[in-house]
Amino acid sequence: MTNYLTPEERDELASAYLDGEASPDQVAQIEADTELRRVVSELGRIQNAVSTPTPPPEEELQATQIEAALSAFDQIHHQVQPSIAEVGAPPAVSRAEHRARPRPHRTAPTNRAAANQERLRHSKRRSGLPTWLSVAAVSLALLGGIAVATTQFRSTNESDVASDRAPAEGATPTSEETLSDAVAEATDEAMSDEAMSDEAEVFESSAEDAMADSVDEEAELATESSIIDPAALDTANATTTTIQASSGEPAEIQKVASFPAGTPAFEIHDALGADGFPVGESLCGFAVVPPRDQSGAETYPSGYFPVLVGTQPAELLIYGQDIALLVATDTCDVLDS
Amino acid sequence: MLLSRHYKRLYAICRRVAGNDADAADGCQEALLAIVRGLTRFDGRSSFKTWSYRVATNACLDEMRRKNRRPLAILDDPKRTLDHGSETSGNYRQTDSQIVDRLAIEDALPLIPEEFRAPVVLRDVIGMDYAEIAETLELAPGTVRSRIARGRRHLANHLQSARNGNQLASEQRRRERND
Repeated sequence: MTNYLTPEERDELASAYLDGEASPDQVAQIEADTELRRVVSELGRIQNAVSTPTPPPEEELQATQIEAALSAFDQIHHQVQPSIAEVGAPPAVSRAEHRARPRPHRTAPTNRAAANQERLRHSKRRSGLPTWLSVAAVSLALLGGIAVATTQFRSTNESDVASDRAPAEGATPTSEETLSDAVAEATDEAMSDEAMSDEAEVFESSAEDAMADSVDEEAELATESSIIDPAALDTANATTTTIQASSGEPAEIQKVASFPAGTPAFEIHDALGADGFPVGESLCGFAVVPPRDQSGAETYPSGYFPVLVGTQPAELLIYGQDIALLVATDTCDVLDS
Repeated sequence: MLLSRHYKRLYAICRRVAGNDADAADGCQEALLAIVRGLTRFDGRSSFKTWSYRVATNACLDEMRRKNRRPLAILDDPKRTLDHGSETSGNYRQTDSQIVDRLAIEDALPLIPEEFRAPVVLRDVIGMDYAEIAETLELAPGTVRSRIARGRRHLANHLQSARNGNQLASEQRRRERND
């Protein structure tokens, strides 16, 4: 019956059938054809074998590898940020201006010990670093907290997120050679002598200020409560804005945090704190799925709310208790008009 | 946190691409480093997941190319027999033929051409649909469909060879015992 098909075509058809990618006509064709069903069975066996879960990585390996990557990230970021400043994306922020800015409120880490460890780690890394890096580190810690709270609201993937959040600190490297090689390689690339020299020149004048700022930030962190009831997210320090969604209906959103111009997209992704946030194809970047109520209906009009990140200001917004949404403040038309 | 959230899946990709734990660990480390190096270039036009899986797949393939490793033949490796035993008593509860298939596939995957291996891994290990794979690997959806089919055919042929090899080895042992 399949004489009209080459072996390759039969494989393709059977493979698409196994993956649920065959059209209804193709499904009918396969189910009516013994030879195609045999190929489906043969390739299905392969599919089963490949999809059998592999042994999970050891937690220790995960912790050490992530730590090595974070170290490399620190080194790389240390070098990259001045180049962003050169093109004028993030405006310089004085200490007075920085303090005068409204701060996003803190959110509840699921594991206080881990959060404290994380804070300690950031504190260690900040010592003696330039002002921008201190500010960035504190912002990341705060945004991480927001992300944790955001994920608490989501029912899906909850267990995965919890299990994946293994402490990265204090782990003894099991593959020291591999890790030290990796870190050394990353360090070599990121911190050439020339780059070190340039950076020293750029930040020489602000080093003292950075140290003082870093100490101030640490003191503030120590005195602030690290636990805020997630239910307070939509009231404490939030401002409410109404935007026009793409469907034409208004949607109320509340601002809890903002990102300065030049914020890398990945930091905003991280702040959103959950898998599965789809990203619009628009040049303006991010979009978020609206939350759904118990019946599965979207609780505000669907449609993308694009923003431009990387070069324009953007804000992280929490809608009710479920949704994180990014909206541009000044540019990039969030109103789909 | 972002890395922690995606680590296990990144590792699973590397494990399948590399074919063994040691190479998977090295490949995964390279993948994580590639991700943090590339973060500043990530522009948010695709999801972080798609982007990071692409980076990881390429990093692992590069690592494998660098090492130019070839897996050991399963029948010659006594440790694999031990692994086999522990898995039958574990949670998997697979039949013998399924275990033989899995072990043979594990060895065969690194041997098939990369252009077929990556889409098969993303489909069968990560569960991406064809459109997501196309986006991740920057291929046309039709190409993904064809490459997955061809990859599976390669694996089926390897599996058949392994079974034939098994039969030959069994017959050989039987003859030796009789002699």
